[in-house]
Amino acid sequence: MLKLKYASVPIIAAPHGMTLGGGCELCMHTNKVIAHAETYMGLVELGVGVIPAGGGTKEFAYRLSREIAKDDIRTNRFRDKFLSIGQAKVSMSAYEAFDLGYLRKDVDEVIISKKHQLTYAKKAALLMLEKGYTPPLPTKDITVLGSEGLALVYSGADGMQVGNYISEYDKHLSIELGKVLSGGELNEPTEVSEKYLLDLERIAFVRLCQQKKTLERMQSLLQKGKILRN
Amino acid sequence: MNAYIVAAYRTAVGKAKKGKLRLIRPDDMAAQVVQHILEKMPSLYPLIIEDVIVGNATPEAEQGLNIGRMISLMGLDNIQVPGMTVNRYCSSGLEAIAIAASKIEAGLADCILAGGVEMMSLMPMGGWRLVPNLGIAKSNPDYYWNMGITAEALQKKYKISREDQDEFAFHSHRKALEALAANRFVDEIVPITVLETFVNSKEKAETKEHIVATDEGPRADTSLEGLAKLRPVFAQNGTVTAGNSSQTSDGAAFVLVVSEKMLKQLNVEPIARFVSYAVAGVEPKHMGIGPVEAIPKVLKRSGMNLNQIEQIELNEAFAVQVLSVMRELDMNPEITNVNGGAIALGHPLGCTGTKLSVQLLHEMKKRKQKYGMVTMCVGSGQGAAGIFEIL
Repeated sequence: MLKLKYASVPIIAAPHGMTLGGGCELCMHTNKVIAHAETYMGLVELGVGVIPAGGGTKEFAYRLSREIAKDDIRTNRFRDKFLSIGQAKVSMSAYEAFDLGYLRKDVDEVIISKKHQLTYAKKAALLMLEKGYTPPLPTKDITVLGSEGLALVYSGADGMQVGNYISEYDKHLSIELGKVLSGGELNEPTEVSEKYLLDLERIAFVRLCQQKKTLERMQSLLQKGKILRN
Repeated sequence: MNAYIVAAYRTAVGKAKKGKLRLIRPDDMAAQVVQHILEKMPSLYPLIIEDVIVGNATPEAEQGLNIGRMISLMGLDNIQVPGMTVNRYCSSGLEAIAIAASKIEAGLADCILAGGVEMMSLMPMGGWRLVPNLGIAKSNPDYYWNMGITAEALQKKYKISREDQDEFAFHSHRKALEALAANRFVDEIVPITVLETFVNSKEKAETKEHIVATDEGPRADTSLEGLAKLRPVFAQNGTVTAGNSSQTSDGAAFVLVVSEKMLKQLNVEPIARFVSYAVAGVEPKHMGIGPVEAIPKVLKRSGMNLNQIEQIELNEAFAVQVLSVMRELDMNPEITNVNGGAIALGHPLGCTGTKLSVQLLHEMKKRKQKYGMVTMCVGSGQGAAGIFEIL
């Protein structure tokens, strides 16, 4: 995914319809998304017992870091980003995808005419080239919240489980997600690189793939097309 | 040395976020109560008051910057009277009275204004920025459980049915409505003047004045059927609903606590004598059961037994919580919350302890009763109980 983000040529994604999980992550790593109005975007990996590990969780941490202005109550912003992935929220339209954090304001666009989507996407790519395109620099300054954010995840997930809104395994998955999104048990909000977060993603993903309940969830989707909330 | 209460007043309690009191600042509102006390007692002037102790459960933002001191400055208009803020959550208002009484009994002061204020309209529950301890969130997440989940935990332990909870809630509203109709709170309520400056339909700023003097909580349209339709709000398949829980509210209340010497100097008749107060810790996950530990403690300390207590204000955090406590201590429902409780009248957290004391003192005076108790559970697992002797 990083090759997409840092390629020497502009890359545009033109999603339409179901754009879930890896598809969503792919879009998130392009320079610009021209989404058809009827696009259902979501990072739904928790439904199959894993976390987004194609850079999706990392991208969310990155976007959160860029959105927080000085003196904002950052734990509340963290909570909103966490819940998009934690509750596997899928947008009901491309417009809603902005609110959920999958599309970027002032960068990504929505197009209503399906017929013209690809043409417009190509035009957008050529325009970026004409303006003089330089790839972004690798990001080393993603501010992650550390223990401040992670404690909220532990506390919140426990509350939800005790209230019977989520299962024990849902709680376990939430915590695994929280460990990546918060950057781990760091004493204070810290600037980290993309690599640091991608490593955390990979470790969590592999760990989860070795667990029975994750395999059961995957099996349920593949064999029966149903999401298993075990 | 004894500590006496010579004045006891409260604001009407507003519904958080919806009532008119949301338009006034908590410090301004509390200051009006303080000014009312000064007006009602001509022999009292600010310099006699040696401290202002104010209970508040969310001392931040509009309630920050040591609101107790701000209320002292604003209400008394005299820089020489200090002020402090006390936080023991739902018991803060009672704790403030206990601290004041203790200081007077210890000879540290002769005259203290003690009370509580809470404007739940202004802030999210628990405050603006929640930062739980990571270690505790892992090892003891129940220390951070929201109050509703602790209520559900009590329901599991005591097996109190949804129907019983709703019936209790219904009676709380019924008693409160009867009290309102009979004007039983009129003597203790300080009408609050709220100035609302807003943008009118002609897009010009306009100011309107409101007077808030009636408790907004009790609902005349409460019915068992209506309560039964409400969905549980804290757990899937739970029993605790918005209807059988205390309301979120805005309010302030104050009492004037004095020594015997000051009683003579002010030349006033005392309303009551402060007898005793106790706090106790219980499991945070069962915080609602707090009074079960605090009540025996305060009775023992004062050498009394429950039969001698003629009226009790037991804060109704949740119907299930009150019913659990009453069952454990075999309390008499006839003498408990005679004019309704927090389910109907509201629970402005830091103000509640003082508000319930004000209500108790006035009602017991009318009924010519002698010993009364104010008690409540406290979030994160505590209980508090105080005893007053009406004179």
